[in-house]
Amino acid sequence: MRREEIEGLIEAADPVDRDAVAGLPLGEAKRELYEAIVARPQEGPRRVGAASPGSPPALPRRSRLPRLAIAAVAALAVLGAFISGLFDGSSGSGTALAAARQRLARVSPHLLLEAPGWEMQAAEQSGAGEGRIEFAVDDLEQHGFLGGRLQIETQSVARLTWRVQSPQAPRGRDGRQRTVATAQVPGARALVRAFGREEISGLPSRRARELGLPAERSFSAVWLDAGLHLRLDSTAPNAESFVRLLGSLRKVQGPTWLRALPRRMKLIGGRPIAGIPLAEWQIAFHCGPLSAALTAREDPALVAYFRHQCHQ
Amino acid sequence: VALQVAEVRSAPDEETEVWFARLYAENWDAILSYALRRARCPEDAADLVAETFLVAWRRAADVPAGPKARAWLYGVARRLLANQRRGARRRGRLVGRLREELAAAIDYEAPPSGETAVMEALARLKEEDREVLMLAGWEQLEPAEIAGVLEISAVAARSRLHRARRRFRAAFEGLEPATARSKGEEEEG
Repeated sequence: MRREEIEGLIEAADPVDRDAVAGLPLGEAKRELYEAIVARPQEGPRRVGAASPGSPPALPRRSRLPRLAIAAVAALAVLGAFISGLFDGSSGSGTALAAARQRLARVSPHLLLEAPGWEMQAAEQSGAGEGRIEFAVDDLEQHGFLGGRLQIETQSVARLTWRVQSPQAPRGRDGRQRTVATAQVPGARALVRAFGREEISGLPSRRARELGLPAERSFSAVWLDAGLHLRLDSTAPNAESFVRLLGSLRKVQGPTWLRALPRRMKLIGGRPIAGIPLAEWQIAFHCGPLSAALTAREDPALVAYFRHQCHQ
Repeated sequence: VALQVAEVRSAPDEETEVWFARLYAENWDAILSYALRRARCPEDAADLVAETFLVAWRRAADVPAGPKARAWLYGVARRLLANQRRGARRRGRLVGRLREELAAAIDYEAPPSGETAVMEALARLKEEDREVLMLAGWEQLEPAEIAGVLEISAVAARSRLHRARRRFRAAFEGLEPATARSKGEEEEG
């Protein structure tokens, strides 16, 4: 192990994010402490010239790769960023985003899809003890015209959802699914399930074929590992392809997972997406004026939604 | 009469207060981060921050000028931390509000598994080795600055850092593989 690797490991294990510390709401407490201190007697006067008020203290020699343990503040920061639109993809280095990244790194399973081209596109903690990670690959480009106006351009997406394993009995299986295989994933063997063909891309299969969309089916894999219930959903031409994708799932060290987080993160799950405030895309949602190419890149659920809305 | 003399002697001049205000503002985040990284709970971290700056105020004449001030503060915090760990601490006389607000804001949970091995390897080192690695990796200090914190020469700091990295490597590589995790399959929808 080289010196740089040792430095990287230790630095990545830093339990405190100084950016998040700077954002702690301690203004009043800090001022009160200052006043309490300067009200105390000193042992002696400061030597003239001992301190140069113009000499700033040393700055850290490099930016941090932090991990934080500041849950409440991070949550507030994320909420603040959500409200103010900081998650529009233009503020990747902001404190709120940094805090969100650290929070995610702390709570999320450190899993990556290492099949060629697949990258983490988004991650979120959607509630206490649950969240999801979205991976995508630019392997699919379809151009079609919906109603003669709408161009579709899309990616393949895999969505990993995780939640802390419940002591309660699992819910019943979705009747539209059937188990088609088992597959090895990190730490466990997963059940692989397939949806019926009518679920293709959220469209009736006949309509999907008319649009030239590939004949893919939706698959999911479920497994338990380290107290987490995990599920990976994606589409694939067949079960074998999906199992191959599962085989590329890797458990990595925290710093590696953190580095794989996109520099820009979007929120997923029906909330504002990159560059498109919620109100704006809702208003714009009339098949004609909307730039579907942009939208389709952002969220596969939206793609399906658009297709339904424009063609039913 | 003696009391009056003491009060006259300890009254801060304007220049000192301006200096301290700047020292306090510029080093608050660094000292708070240092304290949060090492203290056992937010309350202890609040105490450590308060005592560190109180020492700086009381011993204003001893605080070095310019960039060296921060290393000096780290050194004070380090000694206070050792006192805290020995139980010889002054609890919360200055910091009632800071302790409350830090305790409300900070979640001291265990690190995720990815960092557990690093923390475990650090824990296996002697305090001297661990501290020099944390000062370099977490406080981002150069060997010359570490020397100021530990009150040793820069050459000694560099040498200590080198030895500590070597020992960390041995400790990290000597860790057992992660224990097998629970496995299973579940039927769910």
